[in-house]
Amino acid sequence: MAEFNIVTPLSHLGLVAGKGTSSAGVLLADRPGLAIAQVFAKKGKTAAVAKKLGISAEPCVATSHENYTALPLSPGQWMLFATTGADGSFQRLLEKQIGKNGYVSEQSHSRAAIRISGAKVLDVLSKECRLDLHSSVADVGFCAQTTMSGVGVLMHKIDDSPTFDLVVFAGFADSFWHWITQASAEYGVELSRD
Amino acid sequence: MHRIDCPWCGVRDESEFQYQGDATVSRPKFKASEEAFFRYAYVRENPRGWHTEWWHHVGGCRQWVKVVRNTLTHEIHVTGTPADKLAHPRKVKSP
Repeated sequence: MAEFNIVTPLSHLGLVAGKGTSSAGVLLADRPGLAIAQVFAKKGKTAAVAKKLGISAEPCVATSHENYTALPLSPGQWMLFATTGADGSFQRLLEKQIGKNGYVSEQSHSRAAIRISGAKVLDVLSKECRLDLHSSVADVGFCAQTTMSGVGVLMHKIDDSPTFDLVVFAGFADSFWHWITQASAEYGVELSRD
Repeated sequence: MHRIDCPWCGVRDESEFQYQGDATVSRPKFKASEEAFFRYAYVRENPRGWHTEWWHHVGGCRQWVKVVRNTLTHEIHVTGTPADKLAHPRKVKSP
């Protein structure tokens, strides 16, 4: 049987798994293979969908569930992430859960997720990000859509170290990766993949 | 640089928004005169002072935001959803 190489937006970079011992100021990791699906509630069904999925309908707050994380995008819309199910099974699971209250659109192959951590994270992000990311405003779980380097970014604060996940359109992944690696270079940067 | 209070996202930077024009004009009925459509498409008040306008939060939640902004001072008085009726401040500020 033929062997297939799974191609993801940044797989051509040939990144390898990090050792987790780097002293670099910034750590950037490509997170390929995530299952990603966008959920849309029908008119008047926002609360119903949120209840079915066990997630919050409030803006700018991520809900971390046992099997997935939901980031609200706009009224009645969320982007959901899971570690498995990029073959479409995640989408089907969500469709089953929300029933006729809304719609689910498979996005696993249309986004690239980049995890940024290290002591100099905020120094890098503050070069382009116009959001206030101080922990007094952006607590763990904070999420927002914004633009950085001219690219639309869905960002999510993972922990207080701080660590952020930055999700961009697949077609902008190279451009965004180029900017963020250049912006990180002065602090020392380690590049890896999950 | 404006800081615009998006009803969904909260206060965000102008760079996330696109200006989408005058929010005080409304489309004439289908059988309205050519003159009415001409005015709808091309004729604007261009006020010096308070103005109700559309801003599209294209870099954020992609919702449309109604904004009362002073074209002279760039002060933003109030923002709201498209369905909101937003009043101008009573006193027109002069520089």
